[in-house]
Amino acid sequence: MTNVDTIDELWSSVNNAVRNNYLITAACFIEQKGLVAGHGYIVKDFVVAKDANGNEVNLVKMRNPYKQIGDTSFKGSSHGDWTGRFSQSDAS
Amino acid sequence: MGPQDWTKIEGSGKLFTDSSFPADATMLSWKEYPRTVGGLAKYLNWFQEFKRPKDLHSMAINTKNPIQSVSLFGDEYDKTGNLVAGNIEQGSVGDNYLLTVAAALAERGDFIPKMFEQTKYSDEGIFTIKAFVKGRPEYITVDDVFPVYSHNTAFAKPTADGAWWLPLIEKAFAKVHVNYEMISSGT
Repeated sequence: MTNVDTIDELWSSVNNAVRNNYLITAACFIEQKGLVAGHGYIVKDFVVAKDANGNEVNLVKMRNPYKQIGDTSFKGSSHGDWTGRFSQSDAS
Repeated sequence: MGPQDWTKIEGSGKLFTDSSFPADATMLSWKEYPRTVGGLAKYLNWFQEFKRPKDLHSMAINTKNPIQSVSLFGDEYDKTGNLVAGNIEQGSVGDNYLLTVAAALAERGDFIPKMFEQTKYSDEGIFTIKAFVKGRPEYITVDDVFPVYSHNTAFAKPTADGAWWLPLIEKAFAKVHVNYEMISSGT
């Protein structure tokens, strides 16, 4: 994403793009927060939530479209909901 | 890009071979000007065979990772109208910037099928993809001969349900950029 000078502008830009149903992909150069460096992700959603202390937290929902190495189990559609950590069904 | 009379080739019953993007070393890289970053030089000796999906399918049927039946958009799309948009597989060229966008498009209804002039896998192995090249709408025609390695495509793989739209889009993109090496690393 270009033409943003501050982190707030970045979040605003992401929010605007998501609300307008833009096609958004993302990647990072350094591995962090479980994201693999140099890997491509699809940005699905952006929300501002509040943590237990009432502080606003920016959350980006992303999908990894790639097959994991060695995974030969996948045969069906990828259109199902995410069921892992931070999903609607995540009780942790 | 490609033959102007592709509509005459389709349905002719004769396998199409794209002489403007031949299945040889020139499809992989530009020998005189190899890329120093993200190049394919170290892999070139691996990719000396070029095959069509139907040949790969029959070759690999008894291997550990058999290629599913050959289809343009896959069994899932034929049954439900939804493309398999996840579990895509990159190959030996650094073009995940392209594959990720293709996967994102595949999640959105008919964007990918509408890129193709064909609605099903062409018996002649000819595929015409509509795309903007430097801002101009173009028809990019490719054949279905791919560089292979270890019973599968060297670069983007068919999806888990046997769809070849992703390797074909990647091949069309490589053709526009002269060869596969030139699409490495997002440049």
